[in-house]
Amino acid sequence: MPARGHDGPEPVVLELRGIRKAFGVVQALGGVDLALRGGEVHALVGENGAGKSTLIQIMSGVYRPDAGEIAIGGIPARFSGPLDAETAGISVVYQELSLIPELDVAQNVYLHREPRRLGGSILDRGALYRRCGELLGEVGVDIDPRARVRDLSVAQRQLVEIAKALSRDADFVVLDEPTASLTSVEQQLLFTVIRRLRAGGKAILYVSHRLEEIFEIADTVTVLKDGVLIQTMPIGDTDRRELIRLMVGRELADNLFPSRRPEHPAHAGPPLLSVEAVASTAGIDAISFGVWPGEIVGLAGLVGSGRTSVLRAVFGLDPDATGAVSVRDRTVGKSPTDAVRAGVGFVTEDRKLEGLALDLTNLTNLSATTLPGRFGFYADGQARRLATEVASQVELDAGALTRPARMLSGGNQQKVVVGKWLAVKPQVLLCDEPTRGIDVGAKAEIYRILRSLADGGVAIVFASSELPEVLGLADRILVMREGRIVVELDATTATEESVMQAAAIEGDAQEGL
Amino acid sequence: MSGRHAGIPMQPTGGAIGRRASGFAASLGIWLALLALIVVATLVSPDFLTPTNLLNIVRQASVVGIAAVGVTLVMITGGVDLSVGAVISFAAPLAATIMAGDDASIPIAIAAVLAMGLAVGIANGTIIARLNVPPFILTLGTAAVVVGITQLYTGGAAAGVVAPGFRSIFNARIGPVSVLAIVFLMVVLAGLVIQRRMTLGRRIYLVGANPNAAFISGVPVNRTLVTVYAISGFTAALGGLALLARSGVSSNFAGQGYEFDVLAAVVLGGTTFVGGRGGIGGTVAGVLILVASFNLVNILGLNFNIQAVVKGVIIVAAAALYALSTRREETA
Repeated sequence: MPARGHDGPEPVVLELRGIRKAFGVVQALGGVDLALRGGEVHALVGENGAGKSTLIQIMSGVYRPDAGEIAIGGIPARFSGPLDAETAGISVVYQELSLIPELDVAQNVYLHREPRRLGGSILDRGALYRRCGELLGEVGVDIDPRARVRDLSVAQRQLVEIAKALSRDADFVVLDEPTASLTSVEQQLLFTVIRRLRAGGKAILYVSHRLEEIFEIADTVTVLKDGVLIQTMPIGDTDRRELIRLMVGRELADNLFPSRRPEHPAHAGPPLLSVEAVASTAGIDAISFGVWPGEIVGLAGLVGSGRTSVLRAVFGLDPDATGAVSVRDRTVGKSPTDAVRAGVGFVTEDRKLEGLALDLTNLTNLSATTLPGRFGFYADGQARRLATEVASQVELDAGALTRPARMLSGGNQQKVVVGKWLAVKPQVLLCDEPTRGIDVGAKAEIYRILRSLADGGVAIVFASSELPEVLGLADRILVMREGRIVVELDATTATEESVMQAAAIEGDAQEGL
Repeated sequence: MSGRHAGIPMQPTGGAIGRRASGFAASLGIWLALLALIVVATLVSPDFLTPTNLLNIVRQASVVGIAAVGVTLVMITGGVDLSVGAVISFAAPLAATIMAGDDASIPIAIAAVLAMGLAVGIANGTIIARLNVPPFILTLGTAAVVVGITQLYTGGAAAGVVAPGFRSIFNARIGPVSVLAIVFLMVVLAGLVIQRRMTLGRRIYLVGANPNAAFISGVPVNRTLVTVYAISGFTAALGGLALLARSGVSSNFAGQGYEFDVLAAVVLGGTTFVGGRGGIGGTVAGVLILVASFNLVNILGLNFNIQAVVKGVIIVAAAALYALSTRREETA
């Protein structure tokens, strides 16, 4: 529970009144009122498509509302672009990282606002790094201001992004899914920063899919659904179940995870997927495990423990990997093409970078793994049939097939990434963070799809940084620490504590990275 | 991120206008531009819109057009092929020395030139795929190598004699249409079949739109790259033969600068450096615009160097227009 060091509500410092916005025929926002108070963390929740992003983009001056107004300190403000919003003291940390990989941390943080000397003509590099170091110190982030962003982890980049927003002395900070790729330790670090900002009287709008953390950090919560404000209430007056019901419009809290089969999949006979002594310079060693048909195995561990590296090595993406991978006792060659041929699919962690060709249609994306053809000629009809079949399996609107993947919401994009592997009728499916950055409704659907695949005899291995997901979806949990599998747990008896205990690095449990 | 466009429904969050829709608008735009050019040209010069002149334009377009088909496929994969000019140049002395004025050697000469183009293309594709060398630099390098080999091969001076039959075959007319124009048309059709009807076409777009996603989906990315560069080398060699048929005399530098014209036509046609977008249809319009404006400069009797200016202006305008439409898409 957040500690509140004040009596009564703080004054409203930023107010959105009757904001409406339509894109073509789609009404993205249908008259939304939102009041941010200084010294308050205001959570904004809702499914993908509920209008959260549009609302943020109106606050940040990217879009102009069709109707309604933004008032800062009671005075209506007009933004004709993001710069106006920034000048007005609104700083947005986007989910899409906006850092330049080739520049270093300090150059990114102070991009276009570098400290200068001699009447502004020369960069004051000394001041740049000193100031950035101080800022990072204030935030409590241990990152070298001279480190190139390219060399940072996704989590570290996120923290730099937040430091960048803070460097602008914003009065209003909007955080869009800030913890999507943070470990629990980093998340706590971020929360410390947020609490410090709150104590400093800043108004914070916090957008997240992770309801657990909203209860930890927020004072007030607003639920959006289909562009309409459903309810704004103090966080203490509600609970997780109610929030999900308000967001989704139906009871989901109890059946977010599909039920496991009553009897544990029998480990009779040889495993379907067998991984033996896989090691790599990517930081994994002596990885051996088997997965039997119908089984879902969860890989848990801290960021950097090697979860992703294991999946990539098994799929043949790691040229340095040694060891053996076999499917039904047949050795799989070390390339994705060989893996796909052996019936292995891989849902990657980053759907934009590695999962989808965003500019191409969903039909083409769903067909990418099969590309059916005869004598080199593409079997368009066959591809279309297959994609339609898959679309109905993952509950994707068939009308979406001819549209570019870019136009789908994150949840639906993820369904396409999973769906393209359904098209190959895989024997083994590897999933890296299968529900990253998607809303709770879409999560439930991905869980359902994975479980029904398993029930159909597919062996599934997934890596996840979300413990409830590992505990709820997996049959068995392999906990990783420093590149090795340290313990195997039965998911029905494992707890968050037992997993964390195994995952934490001895004597170093607080560090996380 | 998100875009806005009248009448096109989109997701309220994280959406952008459909690339397909904008791609279609862009490819429609280029044909409209061609139409506008024809109208203007007709108004400016009565000699422009005559059957003879139009057929002449298509014939003139054949060299750039044939080579542009291969380069379009390369550029859809996100690459570029700057070696086509050198391949076009090498085609002339190679064919002419093998023919040595003898009609009987024409098939061997043609085969040798096409094999040369394929070899250059395969070399380009293999190095780009295996060693991950940026295509711009690599093909610039192979261009220099091919130019050098051409000089070594001929001893520095134009060599060989074009067989009389070679010219007469390619410049013959079937009805009013020259064989060169027909070859151009057939290459375009073959390219369109690859692009739209073959598995290779799907691979090309997937590799260009997101090579990582294509690789992980099991698409043979390297093989696809080698294939498109091979096709590009092949069409460049064929373009070189077309040029030799038109000029009739061997020269070591006939293809010089053609890589620029080809690139201009492809980009003008909407296949940008981004990869995953565009196509041969737009390229054909791009080629025709380029050649029709050269032709207009010609029939108006303007200074030959104005062609270069026109070419430059067209490219700058096209680049600016595409950049503008992309920006509108991305910032709403």
